[in-house]
Amino acid sequence: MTKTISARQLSLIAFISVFSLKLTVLPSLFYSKVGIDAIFSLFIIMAFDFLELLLIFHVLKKNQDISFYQFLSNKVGKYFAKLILLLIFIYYFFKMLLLCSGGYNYASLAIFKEAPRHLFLFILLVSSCSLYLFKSRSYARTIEFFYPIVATMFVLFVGIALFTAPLQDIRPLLTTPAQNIFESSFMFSVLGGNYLFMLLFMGKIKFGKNPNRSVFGHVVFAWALLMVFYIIDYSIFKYTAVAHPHAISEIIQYLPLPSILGNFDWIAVSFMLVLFVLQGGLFIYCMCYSLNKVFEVKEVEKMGAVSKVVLVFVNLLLLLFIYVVFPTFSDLRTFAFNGLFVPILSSVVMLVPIICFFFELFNSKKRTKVAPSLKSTEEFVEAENQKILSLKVRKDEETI
Amino acid sequence: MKKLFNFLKNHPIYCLIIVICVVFLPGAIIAKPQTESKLIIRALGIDKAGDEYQVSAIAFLPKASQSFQENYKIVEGKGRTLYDAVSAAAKETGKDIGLAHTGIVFVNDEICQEGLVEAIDFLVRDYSLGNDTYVVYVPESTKELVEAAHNLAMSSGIHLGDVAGYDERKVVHGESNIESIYDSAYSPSKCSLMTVMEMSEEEGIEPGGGQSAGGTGEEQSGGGGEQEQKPQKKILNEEKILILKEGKKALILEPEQTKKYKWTKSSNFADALTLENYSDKNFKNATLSLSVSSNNVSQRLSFKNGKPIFTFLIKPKLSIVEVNQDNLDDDIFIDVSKFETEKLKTTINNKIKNEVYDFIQTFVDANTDINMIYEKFNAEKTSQFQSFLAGLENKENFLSEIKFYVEVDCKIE
Repeated sequence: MTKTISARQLSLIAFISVFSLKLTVLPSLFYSKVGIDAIFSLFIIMAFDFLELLLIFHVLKKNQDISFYQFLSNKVGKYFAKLILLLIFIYYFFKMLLLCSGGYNYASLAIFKEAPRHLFLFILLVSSCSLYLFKSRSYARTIEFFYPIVATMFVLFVGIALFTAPLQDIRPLLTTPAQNIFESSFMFSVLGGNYLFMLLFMGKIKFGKNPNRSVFGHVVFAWALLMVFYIIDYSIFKYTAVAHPHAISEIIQYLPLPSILGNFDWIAVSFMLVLFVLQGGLFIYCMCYSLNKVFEVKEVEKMGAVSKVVLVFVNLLLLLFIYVVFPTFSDLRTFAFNGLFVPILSSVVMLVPIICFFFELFNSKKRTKVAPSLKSTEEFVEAENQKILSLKVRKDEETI
Repeated sequence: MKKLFNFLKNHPIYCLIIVICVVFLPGAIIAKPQTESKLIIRALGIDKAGDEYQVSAIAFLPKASQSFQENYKIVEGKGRTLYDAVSAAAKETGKDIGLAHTGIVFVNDEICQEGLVEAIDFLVRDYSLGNDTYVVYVPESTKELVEAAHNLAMSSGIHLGDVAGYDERKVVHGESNIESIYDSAYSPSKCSLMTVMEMSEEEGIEPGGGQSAGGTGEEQSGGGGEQEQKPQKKILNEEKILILKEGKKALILEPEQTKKYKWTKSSNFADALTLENYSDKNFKNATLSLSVSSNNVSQRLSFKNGKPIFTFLIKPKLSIVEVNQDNLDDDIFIDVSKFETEKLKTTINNKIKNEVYDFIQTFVDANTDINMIYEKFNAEKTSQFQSFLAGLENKENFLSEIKFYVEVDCKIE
């Protein structure tokens, strides 16, 4: 299978995937549920994500030459594989919906109050779809280009906030019952699952030497920055965090910077817009990949047309939900974070890496019991035929 | 044409660029600058009379001129709600409200008596106005102060927003802005501090310009008697602090009390201490002025028999800057290090201690937790403090059940 992205590029995508709405509306939503103990709710999501990353990484390294769809098909059969991918599609669909709606909610206040929603959606969807259309290699290179800018902006922001903001003591902590903390982690679980996308890149990753350091290093860096951000937010707005739904901009507006330096809000706004587009590209990729596999056709030449139809369908569905089903962000927020459908869906989808890990574990045990050597020429020929067949199927995968 | 079509088909990015240009460029070219549609308000004064809000604002109006002078105008509006009043003020100029550059908000006494948090709800919800905007208490009319602030800015370039920033750093030693007012509503201490500015006929800074007295050379109508001259009121900023409790006015610290309050706050800003009729081997009935170059304050929290004990640990660094004494001799200027005697240190320590105890009595009597005693105990000794509160008949009066001590250890440089 053609390797289109390196382990380093994968780690940079993992870094970018952590942020966006966690820097705007999530701090205030979390605070409204559990107060300052929201830091622990975030930590629970983070810890679970990290555990998932370990499992996903193991599965990826053991299956470097097949795609995720092939992997699932081999383990659970074609139809269950399609069902799992359909669930993944719905999961990423809601993530994209939150990104579009929440992103507009942020951008309209931070940039232009009069800017219409279709302006923002046009920018976001066109950019995100372009990233998908130009394939995974281009997407990974785009992330590589923007990563130093994004990381520097965020580190600069955190540094300025830490050294200039009027920080208050956030103690006492753990005053909320543990049940509430876990419950809020569950209700906001759709904003977790940040590394699930790696499964969809299965077979395309060139691991190289020591990929663990790169991937885990960037992941830990991202989460550390995020935790520091939350601590800063709750330290500045200790009692009123719920009234600050655009955390990153409100923090930077609140910093007592000298008048000669002016308003540094442009750091926050630029940073967030770049994140929205890059994350949007990732979500569109995951949605389109999943749906392509659900509606897979055998003829290779038709696959290209199918993928374009899927892309258009995804965009139309997004617009339908944004304009008709959830016309305001508060409607979507209520459905996603106060209802049960989205958290349950997220929890089910997050079980997928765990199931894949156990499949892989079971498979490796089975492999060690049977001697790999072939006893006859017929068996050798049969094995070679299987290889050729799988190579043909893999070639179909590369059109996506 | 076919070549172009093939080129675009092979390079779809150019199609994207063309689409973006077609969609966005026309709108961007004909778009008006926001200064034409938004009224940039730099300072806002809010008065409440009965059920009606009256707003007066200093608006910046961009105007082409050959000098570098900024053009400000006062606009006024009235309304049933604060939003109505501000909108009415903006409508006078044919623009929409723009609060992004509002640096200071003045509020009058009636608003603070009734409840400041509810009154400024619109200002909190408005995203463009940062919650770090200074809020200043004006005992009488904010309209008068806004007009004076406008005249002051035009005549001398002094902006009251800068003065409020100074007060926040060096008088309140904390925050005196929209966010801190919300602390008074939602924090356990339920207290916050605000700077105070007022108009005075005797003291303060003259605004200059605008509503000056009858005018030299102008004749007054109604008789050839002496001219009726209305003395121009001055803007007085004399280190008073308004204490809010649960968003309402609770206490005003006069300048003398503010000085005592400052001893309980760490700072690196110069302040002053005066010793009168001081005598030791170096001085005889001298009045000494000492400059406090820094003040390091920490606290020790403990419990004894279930009762909390709060100890202020104050470590100021001082230096003698003025000596008023009869019969000064040369020695007084030669070796200043000998001035640091145990007696002088003890005198300073005792003076500071007395002032701080006096201040503690003030805030305990008023039941205003200015120093966030509740939060400090709750952060460090949560379970013990909560047990103590649970055992009280009236949890609101917890301050009177706390024992306060003050330890001062000064250093003379």
